[in-house]
Amino acid sequence: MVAGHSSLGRAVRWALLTLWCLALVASARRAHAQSTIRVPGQRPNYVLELEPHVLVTPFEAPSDPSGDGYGLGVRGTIEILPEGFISKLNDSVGIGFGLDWIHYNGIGGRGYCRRFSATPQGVPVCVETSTHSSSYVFVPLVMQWNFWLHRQWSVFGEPGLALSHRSDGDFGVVPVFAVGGRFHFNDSVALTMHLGYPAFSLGVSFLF
Amino acid sequence: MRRALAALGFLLVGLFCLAGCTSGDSCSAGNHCECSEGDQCFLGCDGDGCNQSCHNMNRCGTVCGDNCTSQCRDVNSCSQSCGSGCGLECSNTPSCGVLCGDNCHFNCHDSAQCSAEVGANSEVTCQSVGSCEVQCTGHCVVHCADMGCQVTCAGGVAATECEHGRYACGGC
Repeated sequence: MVAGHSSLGRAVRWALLTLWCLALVASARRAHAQSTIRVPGQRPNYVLELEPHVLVTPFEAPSDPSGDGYGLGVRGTIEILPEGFISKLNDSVGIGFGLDWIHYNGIGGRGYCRRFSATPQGVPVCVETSTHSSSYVFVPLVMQWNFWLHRQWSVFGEPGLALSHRSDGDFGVVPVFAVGGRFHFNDSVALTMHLGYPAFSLGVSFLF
Repeated sequence: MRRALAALGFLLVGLFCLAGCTSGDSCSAGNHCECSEGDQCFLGCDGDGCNQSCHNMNRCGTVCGDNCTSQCRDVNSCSQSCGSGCGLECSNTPSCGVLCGDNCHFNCHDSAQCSAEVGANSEVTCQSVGSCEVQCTGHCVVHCADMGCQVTCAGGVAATECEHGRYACGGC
């Protein structure tokens, strides 16, 4: 950990996020009367969802202490099970893949070691750190399980894995998990949000 | 339309909440910066005069300019690099490596391996260590009463043992 002044800001942020989620739930309850969750097939008909998005993350980078981050990305999801896993529910399943770039701000001078030297006896000593920031590219592959709640609302869960690549070297594999929701403007366009790891996103989905 | 605007509002507020507090505290002169409880971490410093600390990690290192202090304890692989006028300490580590400039004060204790290269007018103390290997690039004094003390001076010349457990380069 690092001594810092951002803990109060984090508390405020999470409190606001909680309020926001409660408001969203309240809004969803009002829409219950027009629910489509028990009417399989009553939803936009599509094969591919394409979703460019902006990203923010409160989580640290996969292999570095790095602070918060932000970025851009795109997600494509191909529907593979239009009937979903539960026959009595209006659900569906897709395979999602994408490309996300995240820049981590760095915190407290912490980072990874850019360059090692060695003592005369050969013990490695770090002589240059990343200090403040780092950038990663993620290539996620997820299963997307959708629940079509209402003509204008759908939610989903997304477990999966992502390849991660730090801009100056390391590769790795990280778990991906997100829950999300869409507000459908019409059958082809929706506003989409993911909440999860490694990042949260807000984007626009185009359904083809 | 009202519902669409409400949804957009919720999402924008949510995004604001998430993005509004991203911060990048820096480690700068006079500040204490610390890494602990994790796999690995490397601390940098914005210039000189930082007070850095690593503990209870697998791998940790500090990098600093001049007049810094650094402590490293309970870390499997510890490294410290510093300019001149620094005070460094390693303890309870299997391996500690140090690169330090002039007027360096390095204390390594209760560790399996202490390895350092220090500049002129430096002083090194090793206590309760498995090995203490020091190379001085100028005048220095090394206190080491344990087995495994190996002190060399500039040019690879062995240091003078002034008295038991006290070695020096450039005269006692």
